[in-house]
Amino acid sequence: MSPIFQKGYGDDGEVGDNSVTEVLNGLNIENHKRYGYDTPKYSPTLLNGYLKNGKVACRFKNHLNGHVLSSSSDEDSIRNGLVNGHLPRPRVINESFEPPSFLTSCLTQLGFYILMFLGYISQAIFPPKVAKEENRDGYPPLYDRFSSFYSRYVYRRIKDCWNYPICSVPGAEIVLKNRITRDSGWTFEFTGEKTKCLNLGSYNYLGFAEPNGPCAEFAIESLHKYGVSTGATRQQYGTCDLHVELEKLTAEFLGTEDAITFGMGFATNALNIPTFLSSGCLVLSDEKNHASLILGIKLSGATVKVFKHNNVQHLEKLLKENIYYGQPNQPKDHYKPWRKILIVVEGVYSMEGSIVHLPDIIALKKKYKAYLYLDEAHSIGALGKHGRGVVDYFHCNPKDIDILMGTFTKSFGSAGGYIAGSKKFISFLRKHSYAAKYATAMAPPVAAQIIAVLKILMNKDGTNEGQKRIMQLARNTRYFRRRLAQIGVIAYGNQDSPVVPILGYLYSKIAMVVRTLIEHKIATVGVGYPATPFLEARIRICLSAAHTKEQLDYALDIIEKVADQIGLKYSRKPRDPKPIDYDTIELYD
Amino acid sequence: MNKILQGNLFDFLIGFVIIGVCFLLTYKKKKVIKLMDIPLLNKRILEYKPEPLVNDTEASLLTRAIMESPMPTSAGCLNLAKINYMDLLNNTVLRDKAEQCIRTYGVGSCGPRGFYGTIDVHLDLENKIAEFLGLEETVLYSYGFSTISSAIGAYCKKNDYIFCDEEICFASLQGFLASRSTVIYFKHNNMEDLEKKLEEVKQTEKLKNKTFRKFLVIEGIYMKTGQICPLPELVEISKKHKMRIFLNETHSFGILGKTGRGVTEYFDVDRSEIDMIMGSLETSLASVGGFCVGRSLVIEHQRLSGLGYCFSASLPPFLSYVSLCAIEMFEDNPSMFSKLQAVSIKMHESLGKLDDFLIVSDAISPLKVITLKKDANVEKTDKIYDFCANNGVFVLKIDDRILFHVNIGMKDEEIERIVDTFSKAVEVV
Ligand SMILES: Cc1ncc(COP(=O)(O)O)c(C=O)c1O
Repeated sequence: MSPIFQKGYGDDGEVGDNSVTEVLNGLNIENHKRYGYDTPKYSPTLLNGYLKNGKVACRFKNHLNGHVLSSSSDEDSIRNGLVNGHLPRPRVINESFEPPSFLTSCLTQLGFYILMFLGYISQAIFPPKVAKEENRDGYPPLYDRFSSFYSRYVYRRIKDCWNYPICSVPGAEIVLKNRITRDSGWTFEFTGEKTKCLNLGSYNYLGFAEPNGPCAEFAIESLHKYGVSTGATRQQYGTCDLHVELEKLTAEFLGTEDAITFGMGFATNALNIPTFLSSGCLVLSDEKNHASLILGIKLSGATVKVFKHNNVQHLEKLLKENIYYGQPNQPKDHYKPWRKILIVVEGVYSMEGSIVHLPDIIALKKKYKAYLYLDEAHSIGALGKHGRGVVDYFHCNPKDIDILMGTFTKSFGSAGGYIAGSKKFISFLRKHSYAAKYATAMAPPVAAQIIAVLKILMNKDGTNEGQKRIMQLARNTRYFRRRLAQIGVIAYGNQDSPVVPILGYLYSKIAMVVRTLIEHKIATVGVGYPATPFLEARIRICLSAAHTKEQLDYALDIIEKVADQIGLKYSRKPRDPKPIDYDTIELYD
Repeated sequence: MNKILQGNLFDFLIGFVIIGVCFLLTYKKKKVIKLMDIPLLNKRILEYKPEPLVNDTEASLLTRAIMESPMPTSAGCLNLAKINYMDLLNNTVLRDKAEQCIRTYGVGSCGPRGFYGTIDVHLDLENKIAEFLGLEETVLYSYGFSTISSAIGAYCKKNDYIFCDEEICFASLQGFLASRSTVIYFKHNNMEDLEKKLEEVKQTEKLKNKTFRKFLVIEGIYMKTGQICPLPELVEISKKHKMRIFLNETHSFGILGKTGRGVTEYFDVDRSEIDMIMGSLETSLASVGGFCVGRSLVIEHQRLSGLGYCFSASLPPFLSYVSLCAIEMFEDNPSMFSKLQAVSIKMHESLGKLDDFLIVSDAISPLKVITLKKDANVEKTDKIYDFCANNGVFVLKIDDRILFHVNIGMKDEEIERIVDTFSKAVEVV
């Protein structure tokens, strides 16, 4: 069989070997059928042009989660992507989203209703401990009733799980400032004590959040040279050498023609998307996209259609429908195509731990002549052999993506965001971006930190530090995820994603787990509705290159204990009893 | 009795939920798929020709243009484009404090406020700002621009009315867009016009028999005109019409008033009359970021609903520490404010000598805005702008206006030089 198609790591299912070329890119998903998953059904007529020879992908015993692609355009892109004359091994996507059992979902629903119900009762009995607004009698209320009820009587009870103040670097370990509440969450006070915890909550993927070392030193140096801020906008006298150098390095790192940077990642999305979209444009947006992307799209006035999370079939269906029907509300029999179609996806989804199916999406984008916006906030630095994000991870050509966006908040331990792309596009942004026109330029020390990190990642500092950290993160990720699978909890997402959501389903369980883990000196984050679907509250762990094996082992032991106590072992997959050897885990090839 | 009732309710609820769940799980939407005509589809795919992502001809021209003027570094130049009212950007004490902070906390915060991104210096700064203004609570944002747009978007919703001055800054406009409220503009600092517009809305309210939530969004010193808002009148009108006030103090916090408490102190207006004060750390506080301050009841809401607050990493700790130290300096040294105000007034008087320019801004405002008296237009302004830059005086331009910022340390010669440059610039155009 051709090398295009391979088995997933840790996947012991057999792989069909017929008509391999039909299935490009080797996007093999875990054995779904075996666990009774819903397998996507195809109707050959709907898939016109989707499968070669009209054959149906279900031939494979080991069912492919439908990641079957139109052959011709894709073969082209593979041919174009030849690296030194040979085909890079396509990435095997090993991703799992095990659904809860029927009982669990019923109980979760029930639990939520009980929570709400108790909330209403307690609202009736205990008046809110907040002052009434002074001299605002007769004003229409500022909030609607439900949202104030929700934040006071549902969220308040678990409020202590968030916004934990810290007083150290968010490195491998953080120091929490202990606080207690004497009135069940209305107010908090500090006890004056501190707890040092293992940090599984910060987005410090490559461990560059450091108070010393070359990056911090460079930041301090530039602080004295340029000041805390340049005090002006990028367009009018706020640009200093550091900004120019940063943009050059970013473009070089990503392999694009040019790049532009902004002082805040959120604003990068929210303020730049409106510059090149307007009404008459269509945006196809992943349902799990980040709030900043959604805001940017909303501000642009374009029409939005949402496709199911990471679901390439649904995306293709939408593309077809929208090219076929064009813009709505036209006079009868008048066909008006969309002015532009933009596909908006993220590299690593921060709540799901999944990795975008980039090669498929690039193929679709080419076939349907759409544009592609890729937000690499969580993947830049954290994925790929060279830390260049999903593009590197899938061996894609960065030029195939029209707009590469990312933030420096996460792997770089700094702040801000970038957009990279063609020279033309970036020049357009430089001129028209609201952020370049009206917002203050990035603070020089912040820019300096990023420059220093970029230099390390690009190996310009002469040490092998960058590579080491990237590999350490990859190793930590695989090790941690496999151990979790052995423990029997449900961890969503891709085996290479450093964001690891562990499903707990019930609200109260999440709160309980977060509290218990903090007692055991592990800091994690719980997320629930509205950040996740209503029934899928979860604990989220972010791994870092700064973590050592011992720290991970400690965390895993505690998690196992807690999972037993609280009941998180929801997984019904068979567990691999073999102990995992940290040092011999296969990494990127 | 109560217990029984509760028990019954519980059973009922459980039953309801179970039925609901079963229904949801068995119910599958049967969608009628309107089949597409395959040949037509293929034809349309083949013929689909999207517009280029950005205007192609313009973009290719732009690739060769210089769009970012760099920070001027030559000796002897006057950088009035830089917002550096209190000269804190050059303050070495603050730089040393920032260095200390980087050495303890690193540069970035690596997480949003909710997820271990709340560092004690953030809390200190929040408390400090609230205390400085005598209000209850503050939220910090990591970018001045997003502060205003997120804060407005957190409260104003679809059916609300926003009244705002026509010279409102761009950041607020983004907030209005996100809120989808009805926005009504009144003429710049014109109270009659505001009253008129309010009456109109009152008629609509009567017609629909419904009271709308109304918000008044104003700025202490308008970023586009340098004029101070008539706050006492605005408060009066708002009270009458039960309208909430959001006051943007970007250019007045730490500037106006005897002790720098902003436009409220300047007019001696009770700060509890204002629902929310938005400010920026980027003007007088010599850092990057923004904040909203007000009553807990109001501000607390942003911790869950302010998009730029919840979904973005928190402010780098050293930036918040610098601002904290800056406020401490204000408290120790309240004479700074009268000094800055004196320089602003002196600048205003000197500008008054220019016959060809109209001074748009108020005397006491450190943000100066001037425009040509006779047929001001963009080209002429561009020429003046370029002329000034070539003569080592760097100013800003917005449309047909020239903007610049006064600095507390400005000497008389410098003021003269600036005025002189402007008067020479007129001769060029
Ligand atoms: C996908 C995505 N985009 C943008 C952002 C915002 O970045 P920043 O924190 O730098 O504002 C985030 C941060 O959480 C993100 O996850």
